[in-house]
Amino acid sequence: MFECVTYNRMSFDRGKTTITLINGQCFVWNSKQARFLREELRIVGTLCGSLPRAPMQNTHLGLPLQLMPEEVTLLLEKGLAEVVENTEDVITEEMKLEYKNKEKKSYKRQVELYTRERQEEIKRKLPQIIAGKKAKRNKVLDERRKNGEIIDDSEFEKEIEMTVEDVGIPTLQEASMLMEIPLACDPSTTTPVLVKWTYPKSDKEVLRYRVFRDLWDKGHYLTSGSKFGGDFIAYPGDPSRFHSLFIVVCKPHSASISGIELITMGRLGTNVKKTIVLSSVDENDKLCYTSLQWTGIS
Amino acid sequence: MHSADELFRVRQGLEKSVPQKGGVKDFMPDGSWIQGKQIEKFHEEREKVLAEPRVQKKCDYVHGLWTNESRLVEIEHEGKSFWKNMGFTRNGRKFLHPEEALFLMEMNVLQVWYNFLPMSIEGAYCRFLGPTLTLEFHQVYAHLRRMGYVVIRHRGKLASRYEREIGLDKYQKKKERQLGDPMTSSLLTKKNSIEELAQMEGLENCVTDKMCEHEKVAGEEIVASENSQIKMDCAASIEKAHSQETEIGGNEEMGSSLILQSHMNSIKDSAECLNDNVTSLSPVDDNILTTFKHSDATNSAFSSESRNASGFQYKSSAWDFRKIAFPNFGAECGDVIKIQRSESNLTPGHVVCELDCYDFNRMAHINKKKDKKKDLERDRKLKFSNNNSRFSSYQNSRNWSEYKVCLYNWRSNNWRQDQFPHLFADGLQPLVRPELATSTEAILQQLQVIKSSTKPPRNSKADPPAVLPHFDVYSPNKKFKKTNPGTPDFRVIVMRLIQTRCDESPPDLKTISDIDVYFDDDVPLHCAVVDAGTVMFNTLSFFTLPTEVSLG
Repeated sequence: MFECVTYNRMSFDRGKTTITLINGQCFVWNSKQARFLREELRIVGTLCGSLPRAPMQNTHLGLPLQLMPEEVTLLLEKGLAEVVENTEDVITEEMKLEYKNKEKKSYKRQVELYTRERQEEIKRKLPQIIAGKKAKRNKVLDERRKNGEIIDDSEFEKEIEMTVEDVGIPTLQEASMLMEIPLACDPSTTTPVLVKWTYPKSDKEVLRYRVFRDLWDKGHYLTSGSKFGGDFIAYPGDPSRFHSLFIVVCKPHSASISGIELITMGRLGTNVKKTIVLSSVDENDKLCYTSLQWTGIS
Repeated sequence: MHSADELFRVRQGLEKSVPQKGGVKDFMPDGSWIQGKQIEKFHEEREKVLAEPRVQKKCDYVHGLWTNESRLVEIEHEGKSFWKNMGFTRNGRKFLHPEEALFLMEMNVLQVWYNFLPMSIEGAYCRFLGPTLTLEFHQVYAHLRRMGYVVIRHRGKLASRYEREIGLDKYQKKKERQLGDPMTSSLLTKKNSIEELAQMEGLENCVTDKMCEHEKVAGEEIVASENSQIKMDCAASIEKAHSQETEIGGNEEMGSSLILQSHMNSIKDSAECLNDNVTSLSPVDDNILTTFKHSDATNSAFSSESRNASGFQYKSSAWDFRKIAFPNFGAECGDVIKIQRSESNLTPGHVVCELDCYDFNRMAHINKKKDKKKDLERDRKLKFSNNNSRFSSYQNSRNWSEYKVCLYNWRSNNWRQDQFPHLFADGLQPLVRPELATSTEAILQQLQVIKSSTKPPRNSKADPPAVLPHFDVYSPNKKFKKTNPGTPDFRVIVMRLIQTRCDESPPDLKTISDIDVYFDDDVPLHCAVVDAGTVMFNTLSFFTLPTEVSLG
């Protein structure tokens, strides 16, 4: 299956994209790397996690980015990525202590930040606070006046001297401290282990990869084609900005295509305004593309 | 892990807006500056949105613990909202399935700890996903949950059609409620928990359940078949038990369970009055006897009324119905009904029977309701419509099916066949027979040379199919109860699409048909196809094409 080689953690700083293999599928967990893949390398992938800021919807998904096996093979061939598997380190008491220290440090810092934020808020709202206190005091004086006490009018006008420090700020409770659910594994407690990637293997996979690589070399952006009944969908530019033009269907060169199949593909392409591209590798190991368009003669 | 500053900053300016999806797209890249700028802006925003961390106050997180052995997340205190639809209780402890836990982590509600350290989402993916929980399974689960549905792992067939019809599916069986979620009992490797429960219940319940099973089966058999034949045979078998002629093997057409059932009841009832019956049973009944005795020992108040509500009870009666003659008010023997005074004194104490034979005027005593004019019309029409066929077939048949068969035979044999002798003489005969041409639809049916396959008949006793659905999905509902969810709104079967391999193919027609027959309800089955992160739903449903009748 997969061979595993232990690898030095330092290598990941060299600029290679880290691809994690989980349950047979490949994922990218870093948003910067995901952007780099798409912007510079024309590797699109599919986001399959929920978005932190709006989790209960399916139109915009978040990390991780799931990659097609063809995309992974391409990145590996170009030396731009590494496929790893996360192995768990044995958790030592040291690590637990380290985590607790981190948490404590974070808490202290949060207390500072919280206090500072409250102070600034108070400073901004100081006139309102003073006005509020004055109104309260005047109300009390009013009550006393009603009860018969004689109070001078000047008492009402007296200013209240207050500074920011006078206002009490409750300390941030530890229970209210902010915590996060991290997305990627903590590098200090997991060791990524390099994995030998063995895609493509069967004839079909080899053909698919050949076609993918060739189209990618020609400058297209390619994504999975299952939504349109083909192998890939080819975009002339970034999928966010452009409509796709081709539905790529990979067929072995010697395979026969029935009439019904041709009609099906032609109709499908027409209904979604895309051209079907039948791709295969001929006897001379060259890629040939045949485009299919349903036209009418009326 | 993000620093405190970053967390704080995120918490302060929490934006809820979702980035735009595409907008108006261009057709071809024209290398213009503005296009490049738009794409760059898109990427920048995307990177920013994707990099946002999931931040929450410590007290707002639900604390969960993952154990590798059980592959479940245990929680101590349930959160505000999710416990109603997710999770299960076992032995007083609260657990979550791994896909539920992963979903809650992504929703920023649950924090899972393992080895005293918090788990990241990537870590959860690595640890939770495995052979029991594939990525596709989780992706379909998360997709449906994000849409708002309540999704639980498939629980099997909870209620048969009969139970649903009588409204029994609202009451969860005691056995299932005690064991909690039936599907996870296989996942928990801690055997003692289940064994403890079994011991707690004791053998008593097992025996009761066994008999409940029998009764349930018996009840379904009774209701499912409309044939009165069985009913009559049951009465006969009860009488047989009474008269101590036990031949279980003989009456094969009913099925042994039914006999067992009726025997058990008859044993019980007869034991109350005549103890001799119990001892003089044949050896085959010994095992029934022992179970009865055992249960009798453990359950003191073991009457037929205390048993479960479902199932059909045969109470053997003290009356011999063959000897009691009930007057046949439906007979067409004129307007006067004669009733003979019966041998045994069945009338209540104060009523004195003077005459030996009483005559009743049918029209005066039956159907005192005033006949409406249209009813009279209808009756008149019915009286003359099938006049010729009534005499022999009606009196000889014991139920409607036999009558219809008789009628069909009579029609095809007697009516007007001699009118077209030249047509029906040869081997090659017309498809449509004139006497059977009652309506356009009947003619069309006879003309049907190619018989269309009908949906397989629903069988409440069908074996579970080889492939079962993976999820039961319910629409969001305030009244949803985890312990008794009821019939799902639809079921989902998950399928992974690997175009280069043929090992996983969509469920074929036989599988779908098997599933439909097994569940015996109108819940649609959706097939979720997952390919490289995208989930697509498809449905295959059965429906029969109606016969197009344009004339007549």
